[in-house]
Amino acid sequence: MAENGKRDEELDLLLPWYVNGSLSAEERTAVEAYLESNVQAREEVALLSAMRQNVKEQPLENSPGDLGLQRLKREIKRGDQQQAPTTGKVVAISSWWRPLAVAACLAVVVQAGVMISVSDRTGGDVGIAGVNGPVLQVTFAPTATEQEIREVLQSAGTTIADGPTALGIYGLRLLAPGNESANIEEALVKLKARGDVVTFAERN
Amino acid sequence: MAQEDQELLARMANGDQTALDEFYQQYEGRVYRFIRSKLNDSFDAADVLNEVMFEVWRSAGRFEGRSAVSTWVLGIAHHKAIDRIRRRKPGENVELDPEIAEDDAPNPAEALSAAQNAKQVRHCVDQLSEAHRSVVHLAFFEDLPYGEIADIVGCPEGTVKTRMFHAKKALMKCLAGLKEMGLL
Repeated sequence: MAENGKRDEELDLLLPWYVNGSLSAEERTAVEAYLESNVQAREEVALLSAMRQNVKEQPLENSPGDLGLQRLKREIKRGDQQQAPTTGKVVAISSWWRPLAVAACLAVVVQAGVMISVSDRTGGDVGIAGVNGPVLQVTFAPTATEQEIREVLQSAGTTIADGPTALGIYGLRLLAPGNESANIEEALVKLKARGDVVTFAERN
Repeated sequence: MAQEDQELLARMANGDQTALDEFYQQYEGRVYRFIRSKLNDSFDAADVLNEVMFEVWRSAGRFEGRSAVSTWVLGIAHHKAIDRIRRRKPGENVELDPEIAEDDAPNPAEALSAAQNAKQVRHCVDQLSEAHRSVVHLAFFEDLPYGEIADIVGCPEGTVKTRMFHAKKALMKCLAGLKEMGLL
């Protein structure tokens, strides 16, 4: 036990867990006695409490949510179809499926587009994927700078119209009016040519 | 809650996908946040979250109840995230087990006003090594006892305490530095 205000290294190590309230009754009693005799330890508890409060209040960026659950279920279904080895070992998922996951997400987007299109024809509500809606889907390299992305988008005659999704997918539309197939194809070629910036590009 | 979680795992082990839905909805946010805190990359974090939930589904029947379900799941998340870090390109590698002594850390009072600013705290936490960020997240966001954190990250309790000690020193130094630069 610390005396005369001296620091006690063992009790110092417990201070973060005193702050989060998870110490045993015995440890808690020892820390409280320590705090009574040591100003610096009390200051440290105040600091740790402020840190904890702010760590707890950090905003939560969007997690994958339902999209992630759908992706997981597709993986599970695929695993079942492939009859995973019966050794009891957990099947490791490697990076090979990332393009598949992206493609699957795109399939959902395309399906949504078709549904909106059908809805339009039947007099339903007009969706966002109209004339000016996204015609291309891309992901950018994590290392790409804002300037690089801007240059690539401008050279391809495109602009961001949607996204990013939880998987980092952006929807692009053409800057020029109309969505002629040839223009879209031309933009796609230019995007794919910059593989250092655009890691994935497909028609919507 | 612990009993309910174990029942969910038992149902998942029998192939019940509605149990998977419930389990996913219950744990997705926590697990994603933990992984995100380790990887500092939302795309990778979403990827690893999927790997974790896949492994939970595949190995639900092997959960033996020796720890809380949350400890087991976060432990899987820890190992998957470490695997991901090791697979990254060398230039992107993250320090995995630093035990760096932070010399001349400031007095707690010097860092206190900075610690009350959420943005500054976030900035300084982001500067920590992966191992230190994990312990800070588990202690301050999850409010877990050091013993449970040791189970999750797979190291002795003493190591958890010293990692937190070094993380605290590094945070104090960073926060006091921001204050000194007039960024508050």
